[in-house]
Amino acid sequence: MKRLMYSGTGLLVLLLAFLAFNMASSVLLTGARLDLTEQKLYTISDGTRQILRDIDEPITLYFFFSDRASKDMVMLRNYARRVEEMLKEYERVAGGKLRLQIIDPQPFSEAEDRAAEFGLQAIPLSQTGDKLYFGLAGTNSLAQREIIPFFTLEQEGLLEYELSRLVNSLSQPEKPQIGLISGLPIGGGMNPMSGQPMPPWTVLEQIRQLFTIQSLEPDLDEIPEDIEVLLLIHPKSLTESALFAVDQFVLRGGRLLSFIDPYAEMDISTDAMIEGMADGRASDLGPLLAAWGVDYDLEKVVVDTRLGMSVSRGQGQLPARHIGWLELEQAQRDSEDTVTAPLQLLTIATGGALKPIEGASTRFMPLLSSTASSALVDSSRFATLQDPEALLNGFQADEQIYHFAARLQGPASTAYPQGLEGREPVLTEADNINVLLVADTDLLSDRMWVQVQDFFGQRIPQPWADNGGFLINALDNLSGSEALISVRSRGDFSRPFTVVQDLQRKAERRFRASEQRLQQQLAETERRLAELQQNQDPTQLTELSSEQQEAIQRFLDDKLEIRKQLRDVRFQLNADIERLGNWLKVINIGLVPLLLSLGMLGWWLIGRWRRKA
Amino acid sequence: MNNLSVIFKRELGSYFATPLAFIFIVIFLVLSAVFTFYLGGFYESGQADLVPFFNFHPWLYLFLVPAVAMRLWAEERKSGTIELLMTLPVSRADMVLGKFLAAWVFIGIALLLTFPIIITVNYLGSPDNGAIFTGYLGSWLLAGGYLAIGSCISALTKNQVIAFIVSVVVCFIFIVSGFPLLLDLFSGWAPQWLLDAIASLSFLIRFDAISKGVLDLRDLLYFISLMAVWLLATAIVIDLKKAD
Repeated sequence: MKRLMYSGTGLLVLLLAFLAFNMASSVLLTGARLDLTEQKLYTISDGTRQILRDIDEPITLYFFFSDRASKDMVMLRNYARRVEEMLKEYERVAGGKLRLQIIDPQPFSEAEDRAAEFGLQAIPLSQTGDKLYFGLAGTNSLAQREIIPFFTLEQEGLLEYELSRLVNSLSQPEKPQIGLISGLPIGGGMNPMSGQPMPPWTVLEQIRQLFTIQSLEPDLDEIPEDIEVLLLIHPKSLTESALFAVDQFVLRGGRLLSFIDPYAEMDISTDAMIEGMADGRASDLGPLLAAWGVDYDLEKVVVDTRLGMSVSRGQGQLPARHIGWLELEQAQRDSEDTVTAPLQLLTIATGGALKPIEGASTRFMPLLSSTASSALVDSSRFATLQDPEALLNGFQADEQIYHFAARLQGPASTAYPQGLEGREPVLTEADNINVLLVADTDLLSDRMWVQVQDFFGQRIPQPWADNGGFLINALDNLSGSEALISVRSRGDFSRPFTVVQDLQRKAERRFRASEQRLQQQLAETERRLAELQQNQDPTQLTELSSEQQEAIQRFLDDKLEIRKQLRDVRFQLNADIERLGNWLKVINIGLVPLLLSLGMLGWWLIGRWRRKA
Repeated sequence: MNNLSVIFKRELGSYFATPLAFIFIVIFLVLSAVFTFYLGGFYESGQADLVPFFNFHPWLYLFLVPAVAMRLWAEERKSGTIELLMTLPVSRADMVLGKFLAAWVFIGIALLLTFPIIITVNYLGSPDNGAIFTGYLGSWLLAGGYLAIGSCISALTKNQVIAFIVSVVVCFIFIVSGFPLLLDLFSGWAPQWLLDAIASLSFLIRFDAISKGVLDLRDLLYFISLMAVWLLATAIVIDLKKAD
């Protein structure tokens, strides 16, 4: 045996044993993994376990993967393996209520027809002419179907959520009914300005997968009985009778999620288009807010210097800081509420402030807030705003914290105690209302949170903020399906260099101060120069006294000097950040090698000295 | 076990007896930081993670680890000390393992000396330190894989330069085994299970999985079995070439 081992054959046996061992371990040892990531990105979450345990009627999942056609695509095969393992884990946790079938749809086979019939997306492969399937279909006992047409690598962070969502919607065949009234072109349509067709907003596409959306008219007299959650987005066209209907809906226990806005940038209605009319873009809920104990000024927008976003000014230009467009950090959100707790990054644009009215019977629970570096400005300033940095001029924070979103609960009375147009209120008060109010509508628009990429004709959303998750969380929470909330938003979001961001903010503040001072000096110098030149006697046009010449020259020099300083100040804007970067490079590249070299040198010198001694 | 620790200590000590090891560490530290900051654009990315740092390790090791491994046996063979070693009352396993562990720990020390990058990234933002930990572990396992290969090839030849070049080539094959570059040679005639088996040997894919923050038992076993197999092969080769 030992002879065989220590021979050329032994080497070959060794190689084969190694291959066999790894092939066997990859089949037998699935699921033995330790997830050391902070958010446990690769572990099945409690929410998913809850969903899997709650399955009543059996569900069958068909996982289609073109094993043969994908033989050269290592990345994709690895991802497919991960999807398959996760599905097997689901099957294991569900304890018999979930069956998994793994299918390789070969060309011209029955399985391929099946995949096509389910509506899965096939990617044509150029080299072989084969088609690649990599999707999931699920059916329940009522023969309802849900599919994931294609698993894309870009959405790996959302894998568990997508799978759990599919299982959840099959195990709860009745989707919650959402009534929607929107004053924004959320469903797409034609842009009246450009005449171009607009795609539906991504948030709408996402909530359609989870809920049954009923579009309601803004002039209705009553909210239909089957509506569980009423979703109002920019409700400026609601008639009085519709407001009355909303009032009654809320009092009879209906749950309301409303997005209102002092300045809806996405509003493309005609009255919003009229130049300078900022209030044409405002919306509120009339007398309802006061009845629910909320104060809201529809002409004021919250600006915040700490949370302002960097926005592009166009090619070749430095980005501008927009203090009306805000990135809300963890500290600005309620970390206890299930709607906001799992969110990572949320953005809002020109949002308004919600305030509890003193002595109100309801409880006002803030969900999203500003920092103390904020203030209110007139919404009309945004209607004519060319350069967002103009907002920084003369900005003074008022040390107050403003709330962009809040949950309202507790006893409330009707806003229409006298009824409306002869209609008596059925209910005049309620022990507990359930309202979620958000004072911004733009956060729902694609440009504030998601990039949509076209992938073989399929629109793949790539979120960079959690705004979509916020809406879905709120609807899930109000309609009572909470398990999914904990699964969502576990994706891996950006972890920015906070130190660099702080430096940037400080530099901008300094830049703004010096720039203003220098601009004033420049204007003053130019004025004096112009004065001096005007005061010249026209008859002595060519002959200036030497003092005059000197004065003019001095002002011209001053002007050049101030311009140079201005350029320097602009140049300095990023200097601190670059300096920090350079220091870090020096430390990382040079410090330890330098210390080691010194240590070596010292060691050598000591050795030499000892030898001499 | 006692023999093993004696050999281990002797070998590890020998690294620090000459300036060569020190030069290796300095080159490794400088190159890894230069790659991270300049090629990887770590600072400009604005992201508090060490992806740009770990991304270059497989390529950095491709040249640096064979440089450490090349002298393990080739030198002994050339200077004739291998015969002396053979006469010592030390088992071959102890010798192979002792030399390997010393070199592996030595590379581990070099890796630990990159600690300023951990401090840097924690200063700049709030990184996922769990993922950073597994990244380091994966990197060390990766180095162990390269080292075991280099050890075996070093045992095959007297010439250190040849040992270096052949090790680089073999390690490169292990890196690219999951990529079309190599798979194309097999596709068309080899069965799918063989293709999958070859693809599963790729260093890059295994390392990538670990450095994401997930310690999969299969990936750990892969690196451990890889090291075990090449070290066993080293012992076999030494035995086969005893007479040379």
